[in-house]
Amino acid sequence: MRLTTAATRWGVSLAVLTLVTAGAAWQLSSGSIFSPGPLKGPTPDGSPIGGVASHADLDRRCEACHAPPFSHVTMSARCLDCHEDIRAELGDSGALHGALDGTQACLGCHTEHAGRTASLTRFEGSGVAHTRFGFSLVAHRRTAGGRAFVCTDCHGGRGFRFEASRCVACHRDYQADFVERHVRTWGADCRACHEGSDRFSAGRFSHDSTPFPLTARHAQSKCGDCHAGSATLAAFGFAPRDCVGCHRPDDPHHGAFGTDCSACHTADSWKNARFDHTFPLSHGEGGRIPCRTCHERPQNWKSYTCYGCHEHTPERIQRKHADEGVARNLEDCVRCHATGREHEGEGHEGGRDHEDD
Amino acid sequence: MTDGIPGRAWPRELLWAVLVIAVATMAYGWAARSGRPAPAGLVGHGLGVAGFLLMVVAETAYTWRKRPTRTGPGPAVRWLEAHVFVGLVGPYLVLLHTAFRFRGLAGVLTLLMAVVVGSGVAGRYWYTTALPVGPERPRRALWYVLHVPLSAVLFALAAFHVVGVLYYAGNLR
Repeated sequence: MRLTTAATRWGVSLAVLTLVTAGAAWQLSSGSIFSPGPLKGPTPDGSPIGGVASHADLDRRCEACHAPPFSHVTMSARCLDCHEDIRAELGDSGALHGALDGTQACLGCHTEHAGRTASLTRFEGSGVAHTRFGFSLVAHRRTAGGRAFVCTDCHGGRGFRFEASRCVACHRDYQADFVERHVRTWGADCRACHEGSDRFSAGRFSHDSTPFPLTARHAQSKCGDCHAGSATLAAFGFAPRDCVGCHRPDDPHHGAFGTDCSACHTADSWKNARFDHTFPLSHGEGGRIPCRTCHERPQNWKSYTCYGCHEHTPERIQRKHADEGVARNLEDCVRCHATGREHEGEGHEGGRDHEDD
Repeated sequence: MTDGIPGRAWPRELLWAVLVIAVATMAYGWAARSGRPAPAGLVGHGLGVAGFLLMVVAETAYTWRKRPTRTGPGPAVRWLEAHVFVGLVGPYLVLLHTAFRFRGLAGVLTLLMAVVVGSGVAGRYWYTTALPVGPERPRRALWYVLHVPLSAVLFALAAFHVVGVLYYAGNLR
């Protein structure tokens, strides 16, 4: 017999023998040969449930939790057979498990076979949608020390309810001074303002209730943009409300247009400012002219001169107006020439006004 | 690259296997950045199924082609190269599937897999190259006696493992 044929036949025989042996081991071990790891052991404050002190006592009773495939009995149902307190909690919408939508299996959040001392709750990627309880885990994936959060960092007690005191205890570890000041000012009910995303929560606090509702681009601001350094409630109330209070460094006009930014700008953008020039800019040449042609002193845009154009020279204007009997206020041309037309001031108004003045 | 001729550099099937294993390692490292993927998770199961299928292909295809009565398709040495390549990559994926937890039947399977792969590598790259053909080269080599029968045992136990997983993890609702 060839070696290959012999080896193959030998292998098939061994495989059959192996299957028989493995089947026997399955029966004799009550299925524990398939166990991927030890079950959770007893905890110091644990009490017997379902006749066992801990899951570890079920090491060789796989069927206590594992329902057969294609069975109408589920693993979750077997969990609840023992964990009657959780079954009762499911009917209480104020309790953690009762607030869930009821479609999740226990295994969506809980795990096993991870060792005698391992946590039975998986935090990262768990099916507990904390946003349903008004809290986001966005900023609570890892502790300041770098380890993954576990439920008991925030929850404890009966019903695994959230305990506000744990926020302070944890945050004090790495920002003690700030937390001391913050709690002294605001109190220890962190969730009254914070919803976990590390922002002053829009859902719990509305800026509309203040004298300065956040509209347009202001709604995108972070608290610290306006309230930098505020450590007390009173300090938050003293944030600037006028534009220049925050935007003075951004002012390219250097204050020349005053402080009423909203006269030209909106809160949407500094660009596309709307300014109604009272004097027609196209009165002479038919196009836009540089501001400095008329406004020689940018620190005072209300002052102007008409001598920036070559047709207007003081001597010529004085001579022409003298011919018309006008001798005063020759520097305030717009007073009579509101549209900039050369002969606009002629006649009754222009001459009389000058004379009256 | 070479065809595995003695005295020359690495044969190409080994180079390709190392390359694929390196890529798989990087992908696994990315998936494991917040903890090793559980064997029963999506990534873990994917690795196990993919590795097992590759091993089945490595075994059955070469066993079918190497029979002296068959002459094709392609030269047998190419089938052997593919057998080596798949026989290295597949078990490596299965090793990742275990999340490096070797308990119970899964631990026995991993040990058996290591023996099968080790005996195959020894046979291909030591027995057939280090020992010259002649009286010094034993006809019934130990590697072969281990490799072929234990492969059959490995697949039988792997199938048993799958049945167990389906039984105990087929109803986790």
